[in-house]
Amino acid sequence: MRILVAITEVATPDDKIDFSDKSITETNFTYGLNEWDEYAIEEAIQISESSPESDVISITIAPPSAEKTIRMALAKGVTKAIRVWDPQLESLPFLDSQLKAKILSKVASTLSPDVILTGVQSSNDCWGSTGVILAAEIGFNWATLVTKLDISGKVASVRRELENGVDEIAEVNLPAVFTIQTGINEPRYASLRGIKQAQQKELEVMSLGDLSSNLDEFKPKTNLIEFSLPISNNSIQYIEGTPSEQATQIATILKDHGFGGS
Amino acid sequence: MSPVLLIAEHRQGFLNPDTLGLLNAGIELATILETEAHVVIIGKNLDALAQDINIDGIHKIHLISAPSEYTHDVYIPAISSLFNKLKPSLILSLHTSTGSDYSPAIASILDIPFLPDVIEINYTNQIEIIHEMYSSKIQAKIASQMPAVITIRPGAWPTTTSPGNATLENFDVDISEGLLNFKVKDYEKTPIGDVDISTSDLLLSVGRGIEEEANLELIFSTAEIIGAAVSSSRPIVDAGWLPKDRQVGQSGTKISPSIYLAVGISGSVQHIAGIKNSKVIISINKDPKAPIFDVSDYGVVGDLFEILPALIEEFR
Repeated sequence: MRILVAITEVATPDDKIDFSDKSITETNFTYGLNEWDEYAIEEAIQISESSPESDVISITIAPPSAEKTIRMALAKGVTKAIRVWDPQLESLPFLDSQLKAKILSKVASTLSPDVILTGVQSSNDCWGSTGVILAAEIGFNWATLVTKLDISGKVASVRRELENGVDEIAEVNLPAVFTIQTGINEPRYASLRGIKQAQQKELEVMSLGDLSSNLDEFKPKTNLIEFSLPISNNSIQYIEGTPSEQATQIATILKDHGFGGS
Repeated sequence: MSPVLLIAEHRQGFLNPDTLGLLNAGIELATILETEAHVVIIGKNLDALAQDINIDGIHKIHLISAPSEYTHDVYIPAISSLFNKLKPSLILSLHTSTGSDYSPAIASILDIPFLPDVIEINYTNQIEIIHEMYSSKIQAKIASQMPAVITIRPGAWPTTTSPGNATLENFDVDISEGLLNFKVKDYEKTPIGDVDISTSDLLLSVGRGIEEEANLELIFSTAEIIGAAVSSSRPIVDAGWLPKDRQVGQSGTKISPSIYLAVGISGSVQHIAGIKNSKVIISINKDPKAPIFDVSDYGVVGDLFEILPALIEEFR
């Protein structure tokens, strides 16, 4: 079984976000694996461990600076990593979900996977749609928001998380893309041995020219007008003071509403 | 201009009430574009559902009969066929577990732009939308040509409506059940344990800020002394520290207490969707930029490990 896992590095703003109209300066940011992708990687490794002669290949669209994060995936048990980057992508303010999916589908189509996993969304872009577009582009079936995945032969039984505490139980024929929801498993930590081995594993770098002779295919269909800070209409009242003074005021609000008085 | 096409969402015989917000977004947009707002509803036993969506401002309702509950295998050929006949200027659906399951694929198949999880739509010679990034800390204004597919955030538009007089029209699409690659077997609802947070009047809700499972003891002792039920945000349930029936949010439980006291919860979009019906929201968080403060009535920027023990003292 060949399993692909599409993973992304995300930048978490520490405190203040520096940005102009057209770009976000990720200076005070902490970099790491996208939280949803942690679960997708774990799921991919678990599938490979339970089926003989499997491999797990990760694909990431990112500049060279993401290689440290990609090595973490290799340290956890991913067999081989592919990183795609290109000067044409460098100048974009972000990659929209259609562009990401187009690139991923070009890479995936050369690898004949049985299963492709990815996180439900990334915490930076919040598109929540790259996995479905990837499936549609490559002609695979798909299931989104997966919280349980059992593969048996050419069929996957899935549990999907809908709204209001309702889950859907369904069957999907392979090959398929699954977007993985947090909580599906318990992502492992990389072992010291794994971290050591990761340095020896293959990390292939590809450019857009390696994927298609027609680079116009990778032009985004949408364009950014500007970034801005959200405008809060909310009239919040901040409770100031020492922790003890703050607690007194919270207690007053609770008591005014008839709570905790007895 | 050709019409705006809105896709009604329903499951197991019930309209998703957020569909009415979607229709209002579509009606607003149709007015700006000087065109008609059409709705399509797909499935079986559509008569009652068609009445629910027959609201003032909708010109036409397209009924597509299909053999089963929602699956993308049914919706995608149905909507694509209608798109080819109607040539709408925009397709709008909800950014829900359902809408985000088929809408991106429709954009891909029709080879038109896709704009997900949109909270505002404007038009000045092109479509301009607002999409939130970096955990709601940044907004991106993005432009697109038409036609395009847009999923809108549930709750971003008002759901108040008045009865309408739309034309109903059947549209036949041949959907062969044998070809379906995705088969729904069942639906399961999370069983409610010893506490039903949907009916609790005072909730003490805990998030990632609690740091360790052992620290939940502080939450439970605070809850006991103020008379609150304990609920949580998603990461606490993902970690297995609390059962799923305690999870507040879009995929968990929507709650409507008199007071929601959120500690160490930053406030994801999905979490905030579940707490909007709280009468009073008090939030304690270390991060002054936490999105939860945008929906809170009272904000406490501080350390829960200092404030909660002090709160316990207040009631001793």
